[in-house]
Amino acid sequence: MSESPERVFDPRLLDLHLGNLSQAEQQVLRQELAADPVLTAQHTALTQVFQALALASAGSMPGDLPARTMARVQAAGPPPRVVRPRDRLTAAVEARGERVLRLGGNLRDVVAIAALIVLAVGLGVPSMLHMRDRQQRLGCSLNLARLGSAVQQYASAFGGSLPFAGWSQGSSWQPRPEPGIQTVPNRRHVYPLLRLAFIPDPRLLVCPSQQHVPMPLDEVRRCDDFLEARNLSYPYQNMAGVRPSAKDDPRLPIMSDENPLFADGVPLFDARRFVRTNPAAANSLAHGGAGQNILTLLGEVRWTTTPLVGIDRDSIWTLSGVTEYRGYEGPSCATDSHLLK
Amino acid sequence: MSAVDHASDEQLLADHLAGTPGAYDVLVARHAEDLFSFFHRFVGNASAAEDLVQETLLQVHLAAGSFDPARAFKPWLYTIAANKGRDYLRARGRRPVQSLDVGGSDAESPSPGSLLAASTVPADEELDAERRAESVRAVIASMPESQRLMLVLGYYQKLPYAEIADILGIPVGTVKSRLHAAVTQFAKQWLARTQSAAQES
Repeated sequence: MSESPERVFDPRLLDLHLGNLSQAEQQVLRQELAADPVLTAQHTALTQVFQALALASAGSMPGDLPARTMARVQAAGPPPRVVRPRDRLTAAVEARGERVLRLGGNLRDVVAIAALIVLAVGLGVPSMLHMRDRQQRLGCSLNLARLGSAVQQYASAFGGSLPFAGWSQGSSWQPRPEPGIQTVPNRRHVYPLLRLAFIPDPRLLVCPSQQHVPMPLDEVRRCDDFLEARNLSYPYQNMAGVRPSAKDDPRLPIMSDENPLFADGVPLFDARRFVRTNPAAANSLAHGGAGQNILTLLGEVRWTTTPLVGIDRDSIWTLSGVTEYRGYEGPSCATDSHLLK
Repeated sequence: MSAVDHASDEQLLADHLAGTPGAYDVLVARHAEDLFSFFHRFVGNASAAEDLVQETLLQVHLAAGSFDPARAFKPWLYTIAANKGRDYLRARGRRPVQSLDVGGSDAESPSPGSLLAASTVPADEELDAERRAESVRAVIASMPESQRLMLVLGYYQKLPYAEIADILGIPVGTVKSRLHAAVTQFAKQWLARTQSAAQES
């Protein structure tokens, strides 16, 4: 299918038809349905699709099928006992009349066991580490997918605007020593998702591979920003300049793994000094530098092995054409990704 | 009604392993009908569905010792059932495609967007209920195997997203997006079919 299904109908309508929405979610959606004719048209069409699906009843099961099944089961005999490797080893040792553990075996046994241990460690440890990395990467992508859904719900509730906590000319997203400049970290724009309960659990904002700390749940209502930078693992689109809306290019990366070039808004590099290598092409360090999970405006999450995945194949870590950052720079157009905490 | 009838699926399987008479009968009676519906819709053939129900429940019996009691029984059952269904379709060498009158290719079909743009699917009074049901079954049978499986598990079997994710070994988000795609694909093909039927009449 060439057309992305996300463009055909709102995913929440499917949840509604399948009974997978909570009462509160149903209420919100029904209010939107009453106000949004496009959504209403989608709902009507989807209702008819489900009415059609309901027509295809399955045939009746023959009444004797359970009895015939049981006859085959009984003919197969009792369920085989599963012999686990440990059982076999114990049985073998017992058959030889030896104790399982005995000090002072012959040299050949000792060498064989040592070789097995070396082999197990040599193969098992890298395998375990690899598996752990994959699980962390998967957990991270699931977090971002949930964040993508929350961003879309936020946009639906606020007329297409992406999460935004305000910005003025006298603000800076990096701490500035000058008096009169208010520091507004870019991560503050993500906070409304948490405060307005589009994100139900602060742990969704923390990447499993990072040593970060979820925002304490009992502090969420009392604050208007994260208590510390470690409460959020995922940098968000720089909202200091032209802010994208939900109607802009759906391929636009809006969140990702940690930006390796900025720490708490402070650039860790001076782009003018790097003439031979391109720091903006460095991968996030969140997953060992192998790549990063990216969330697009469409809500898709994908793993990329390069950060040059902006709309114009430019880096998502930096602004186009900007080499020096003082904290008030922002995108000059809605298609320039700059993911920042 | 005995205590066995109230026992959980997991308890029944444990009882069966321990040799309790009647435990597996209850398990079979509890799931046979749902399994039959699942297979009938997935492979599109009633007699094959009967065989597959038997093979699945026989496989569950033979593999009962390897069941992890920490897992839920139903996703495990449907993991086995889905594998049996896929094996059957592959052994047949083709998916159960029923020829469609129209709209076989994407290029000829209306886009999913047009379904929503039209906002209503054309009512087709000429088709009686059975013909329309047959039409729906034909569309389902013509869908790709993975989408048909998703539609059957998610819509007809009413399994929660998390259980489908467990059965297919994929993330919950992927289940949602694939189910979304499956419903869209069905809508697209069904619309093409009903529109064509309306034009012919």
